[in-house]
Amino acid sequence: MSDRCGQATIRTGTLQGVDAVPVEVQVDVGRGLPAFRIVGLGDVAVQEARERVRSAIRSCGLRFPDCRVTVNLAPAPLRKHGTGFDLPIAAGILVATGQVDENSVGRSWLTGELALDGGIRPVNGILSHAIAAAREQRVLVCSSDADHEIRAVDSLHWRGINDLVDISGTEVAVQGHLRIVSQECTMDIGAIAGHMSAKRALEVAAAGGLNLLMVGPPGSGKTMLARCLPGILPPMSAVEALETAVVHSVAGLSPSQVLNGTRPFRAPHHASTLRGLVGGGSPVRPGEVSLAHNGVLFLDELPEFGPSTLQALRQPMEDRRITLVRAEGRIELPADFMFVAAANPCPCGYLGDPSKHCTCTDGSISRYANRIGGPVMDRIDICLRVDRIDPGLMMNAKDGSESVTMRSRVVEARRIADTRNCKNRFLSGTVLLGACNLDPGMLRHVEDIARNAHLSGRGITRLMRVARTIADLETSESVKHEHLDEAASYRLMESI
Amino acid sequence: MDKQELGRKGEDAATAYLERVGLTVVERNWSTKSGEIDIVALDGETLVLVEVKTRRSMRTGTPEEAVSPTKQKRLIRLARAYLASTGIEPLAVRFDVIGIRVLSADRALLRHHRSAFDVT
Repeated sequence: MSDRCGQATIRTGTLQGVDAVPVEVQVDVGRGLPAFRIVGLGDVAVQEARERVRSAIRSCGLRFPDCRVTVNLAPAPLRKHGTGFDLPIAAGILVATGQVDENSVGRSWLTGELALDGGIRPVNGILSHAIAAAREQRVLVCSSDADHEIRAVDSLHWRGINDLVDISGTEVAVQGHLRIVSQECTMDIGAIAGHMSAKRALEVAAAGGLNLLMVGPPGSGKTMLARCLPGILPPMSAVEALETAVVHSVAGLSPSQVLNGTRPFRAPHHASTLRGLVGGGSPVRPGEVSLAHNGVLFLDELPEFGPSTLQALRQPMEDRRITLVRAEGRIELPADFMFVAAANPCPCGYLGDPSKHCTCTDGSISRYANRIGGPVMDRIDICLRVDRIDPGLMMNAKDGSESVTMRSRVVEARRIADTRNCKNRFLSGTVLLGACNLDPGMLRHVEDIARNAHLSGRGITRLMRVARTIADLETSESVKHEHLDEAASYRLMESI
Repeated sequence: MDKQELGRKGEDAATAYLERVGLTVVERNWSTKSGEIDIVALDGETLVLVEVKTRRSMRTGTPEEAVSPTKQKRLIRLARAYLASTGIEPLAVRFDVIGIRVLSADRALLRHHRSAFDVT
């Protein structure tokens, strides 16, 4: 029962944004007074690993050495966060003291939190670790609880373990592959009675991935309509699903829904903090804009959001990702979402309602509208009014399966758009003009609309994008008169 | 029985116990002017430095509780001094604490804490 001095090196990683950056855990068990030190810029959770590792090793009937144990996390200048270092540190000590064969962890990437009884607990961001391990062609060794998630990573070999003693096992690692299986709509748009024009606008927005604002009195169904969007958007591709699942995994949310291909629908409350919305903290946690990546970000009661919160959305809406700059460096998170918002037309909510009188003053109405701010309004492609529907229609609501047919039209429109090698929402300039294929008469019509509605340059671009998307839905080569008129009807904000 | 005598008796008992469980006691009451190590023993190749605490009552807690962080630090300093003065370089070093609670004239309860603390 003599202790053995020795050294070991184990590969693991630490999260930076949504990436797992490789980290080498170097363990030295050497002569000297008994000590257990971890160096290399670990946070409090990493320092606390000492107690978990010590207890876990002893609980498993293995020996914790009565020697000087030094653990270095290299590269030393990189800050390391979280509990995922427990398993690699324990493994390093066991290898260094000759209790575990080096070959069982040689070409591996280890990550996992230890319970005091030696059990392995899952860590956040396991998908990021899986992707990094696959890139380095290493076998990922982690908690078996994560099996269903990491199965999604192509060509990954992994070994799920339940207990620290399982680490010396060498049973076959399985190879992962993501298949988008099925996906049922969370909410069918057919269940919403009436609202024919709003449904059409949703379809156009979904087809082009366009930003949408719905204005209407309380209880008119704005939120219900928005919640139907994931059901009519095309299912995510395997690549998209993985991108989004990684973000959810890093944030500690279960990515199983996302991995089925269902686009995320994030509806943060207007009291959400800036950090909660765009991401932040230490370590960086993805915000709602990143959790909505490849899906829908729905802001209900848009004017109630703080001005600084709304302004912070400009960068992600423009760049499709969010860049957080901090002392340790730049961290980029994906944030390619479809922006959907709902607002009341005035503080009381009933401006323009045929049956209920608005009690707001002119001043309060304009103050309310101004709170959204030009820069955000400028990025809205489709703005439409949603009115309360007739009670008679309401009672005739039926369980339709409209979402399925609507989605098939959306998928077809996107297929046409894909032949242009540029997503509709990114079309601009001459490419957009070329894509619209307008004849001289139509060009004059665009000019008329722009002049009458006082459209800015950006307004005209957005009008044409919407028109092009409508033409895609109608499988039309060129943008026709009726497409343009419909697009012009979605420019409500110029009139308010 | 005064305090010194009680302490010595406790250390005798601890030494007897350690030898019974297979350790080799190499030194007792190794002292410098800054303090003393009660027992130095060998467990295979591991050097074991033992602090013995004997108590007659539980009024002030268990005997082992008396080995406070300050006392641990002093023992660590003493251990360094011991290693330096003897010049040995053991493969592993361990700090053990033995707590003895005297129950009656001929009965006592002994608890042996292996690796009770370390340098960090």
